[in-house]
Amino acid sequence: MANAHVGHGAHDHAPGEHDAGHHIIEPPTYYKVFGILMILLIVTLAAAAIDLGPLNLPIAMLIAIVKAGVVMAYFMHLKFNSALVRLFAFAGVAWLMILFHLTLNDYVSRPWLQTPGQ
Amino acid sequence: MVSDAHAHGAGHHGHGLVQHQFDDMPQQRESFTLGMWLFLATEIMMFGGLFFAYSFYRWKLPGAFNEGASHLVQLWGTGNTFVLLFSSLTMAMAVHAAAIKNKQKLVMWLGITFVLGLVFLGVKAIEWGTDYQEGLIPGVRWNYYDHHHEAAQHLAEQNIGVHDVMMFFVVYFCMTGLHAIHMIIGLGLVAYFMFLGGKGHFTNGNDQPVEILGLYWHLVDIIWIFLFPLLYLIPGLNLFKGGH
Repeated sequence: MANAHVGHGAHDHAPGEHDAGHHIIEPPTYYKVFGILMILLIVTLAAAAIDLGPLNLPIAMLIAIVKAGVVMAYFMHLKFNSALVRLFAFAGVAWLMILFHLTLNDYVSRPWLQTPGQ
Repeated sequence: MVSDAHAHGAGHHGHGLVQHQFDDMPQQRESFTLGMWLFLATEIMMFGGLFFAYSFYRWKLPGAFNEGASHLVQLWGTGNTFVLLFSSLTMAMAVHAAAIKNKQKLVMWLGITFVLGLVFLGVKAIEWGTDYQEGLIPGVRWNYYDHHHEAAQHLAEQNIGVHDVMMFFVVYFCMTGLHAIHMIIGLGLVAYFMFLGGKGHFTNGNDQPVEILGLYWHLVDIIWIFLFPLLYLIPGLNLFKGGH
């Protein structure tokens, strides 16, 4: 019996604590996150109101990435998930970046070659 | 020994909640979360193809994309962004309600999330209805520039083809359409979870399905976070001007 409990020790957790890896975020955190998202929405609109030429797009994307990061970290609990779960989330984005990077490399650089059959 | 450990696990975590292929609740939780994120990664790849198509055509046809986006009403898009961000908050609150085993609050927050999702789709329906009336839907009703000679002339002066503007709307309807399909699926799931939640299904210690549903809902929100500036804000900020 005692041995069974020792063997179980790897999964043991402090008394009163809920399941390991199940972190409950309290509502005040969610309210703050929503407030940050509202501020970022206003920043998005403000950034669009100023004409920065070619800089407008990267700035809008940067703000969107921050918004998405806040949603993923808190609403989607990534901040409190295991490294493996975070790796899976990162992998989806990483593969997408490969798609963008290699394909746009081809399309954008093609007109540089002044050769027939470009 | 093994059966003893299982009896211990079942007693500790509530009877029947840990499925037989898992050792204990933390392992089951981790597996479910991981599986959902794998699915979300495939979703990112599916939308990613559309985001790439957007990037390519915007790079190729910058003037046409500017013209196309100027037909969208930014106030609708801004309002819908607010509605979706707010619905992510209410969904997070539903997940919390399930975790603290509060059945009434779970059903209430899911209900508010459902209504906000409906509002989003209602606004989208109004926008698409206007596009139909104006003749801005490629392949269905595309005659805006036949009826607006000044706009057509303006395009010709800038050396922008009407078909290039059409390309913006093809991308616009594919992206917002796929997003709306995801919203409709999400609404169906939220309604189903309200029904099950009302019967006490997720407040008996088995709260994780609500968390998984939340992950889906938040991803659909994130997709919109990117769609909004990419589709609506190309010509700069002009909240109250509809392009018609």
